[in-house]
Parts: sequence; C-alpha cells; structure tokens
Amino acid sequence: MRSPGEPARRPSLPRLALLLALGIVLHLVEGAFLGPLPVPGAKMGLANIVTLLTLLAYGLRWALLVGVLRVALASLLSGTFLSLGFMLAVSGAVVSALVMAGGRRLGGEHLSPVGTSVLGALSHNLAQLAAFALWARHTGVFYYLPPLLLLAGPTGLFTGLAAAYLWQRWTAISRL
Amino acid sequence: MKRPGLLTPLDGLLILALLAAGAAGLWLVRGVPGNAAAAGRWARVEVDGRTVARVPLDGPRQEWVQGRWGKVLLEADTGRIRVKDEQPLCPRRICLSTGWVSRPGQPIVCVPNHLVVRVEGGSPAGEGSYDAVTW
Repeated sequence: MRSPGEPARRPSLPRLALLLALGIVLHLVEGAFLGPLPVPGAKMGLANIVTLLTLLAYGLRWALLVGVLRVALASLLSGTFLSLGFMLAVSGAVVSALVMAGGRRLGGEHLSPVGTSVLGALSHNLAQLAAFALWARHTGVFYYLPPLLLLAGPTGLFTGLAAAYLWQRWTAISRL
Repeated sequence: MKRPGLLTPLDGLLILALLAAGAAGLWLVRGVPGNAAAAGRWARVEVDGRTVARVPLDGPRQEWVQGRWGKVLLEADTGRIRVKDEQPLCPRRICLSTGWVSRPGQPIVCVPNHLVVRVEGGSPAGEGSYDAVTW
C-alpha cells in the first residue's frame, strides 16, 4: 500500500471514467431513494465511497476532480444543475475531499480509510450546513447539527468500510 | 501488499467523539424555541396597533380583552388560540368564525374592535405544515 505522503500516480482515462461513472450512479441512486435514515435531508453519503477511493488511489487533486465532476454530471442528469441542492453537494464534496486528504496527511498510519471516511462525513455535514446558513442568511440551521453528527458516525463507518473493501481489491481491479 | 486493520484506535476515538458530540448537542438544544414547537408559542393581541396582551399558548386558558367595540373572550390551548365570545357581538363576527389559528403569523382580525390576534414564536413554517419541501 502506498503511504499517504507518497506522490500520487496519475489515473488512466478509463480508470478515471470508471470512478466517475461509479460516483454518478451512487449519487443518483441516493438521490432517488431518500433512504432509511430518520432525519430529513440526512443521507448515507454513498458517493463519498468513490471520492475516498480516488483519494486513496490517486491523491487529493484527482479526488477533487472526480468529486466536482460527479456532482456536476449527476445534477445535469437529475435536472438539479445549479440548484440549491447542487450548491450544497458541491460544497460538501469539495470540503470533505480537502478534510479527508488533510486527515490522511496528519493521521498517517493511525487513520484508516474508515476513519478518513468518518472525517469526510463530518466535514461534509459541516460544509453543507455552513453553505445552507450562508444561503438562508440564518445561523439557526446549526441547531440541526446534533442529529446530523449522531448519524455521521454510523454513515461514515458504513461508507468507509465499503471504500476500505474496494481499496483492498483496487490493485486487482487496476490490472484490468 | 500490507493489509492494515480495518479500524485503528484513532478511528474508534473519532467515531465515539462524534457520537458524544451529537448526543451532547441534542441535549443542549432541547430547550431551544422552535424545537419545543407548539408549546413555545404565544399570541400577541393588538388593539389600534398597540400590543395589549401576550397570551402563552402552552395550555388551556381564557382571557377577556377590551377592544373598541366591546370585550372579546380569547381561548388559548396548546399551540392554538381562538375568539370564543364577544360582548356585545359585532355585526359580521368574522373573528368568531375564523376559529382556531395555530400557524405562526396567522391572524384573527376583528375590525369593529380594531383588534388583531397573531400567533408568534415557534418555527416559521409551523409543525407539519410546510409550504414546500425540496431536496
């Protein structure tokens, strides 16, 4: 396994397309079903699996690219391009990719992909609430933070496990 | 390829810290108006634009208010209020027939009495009655 500090390899175009397609599908699937979570607006963050996987395999720059392109293309497909939901998704994707990269740099071996994913879930929530507070010009939305934080642990754990399993098999997939 | 453990101690600490922060946050905001919904509301009563009474909507209570035309009996309940009676009755009795109001901002108006009753506090949308929801 590549250590977090090592310079990232450049993904081939097909592999980048594969990651992007995976991200778009997960994004759309999640948008179509509100999911089993009891808090309105709370999501599993399935698409974050792909952002994390890209981060693990190719580093921050490519994770950012895949994250932003995923949101842009998925929102074009679902007809929400440039809507409020789109803005929230972009801010969440960008900030969580940055924070996850920072976490891997600082935490090194102590932070597994699962922990990185939990960090990503947390920062995704914070970024979206902050973006929504800016949009609504009201800080009251942060009262919504506690239930979201409670859910960020389990959802981050789940998506992190998914990303970790994918990551373990990534070298095999990469030989395709 | 080295296969690292799925969960490191730092991961566990992170998850536990998140859960603790969430639980603590829930406990902290439990008394915030808008969370308490209906019980946190009140009704402002105005005559000629001046506030003459503020009636808490936290349980059953009744109150007479002096208007221009006569006296108006307000009946409050948890999260709602209505005009129950007037003495003497005004010609059109619109305030009486308005019935219960519960959504913040929703008014009861009696023109002969120069009287406006308005529900205030709580979340602007009111519980379970959104104008629009989108994701």
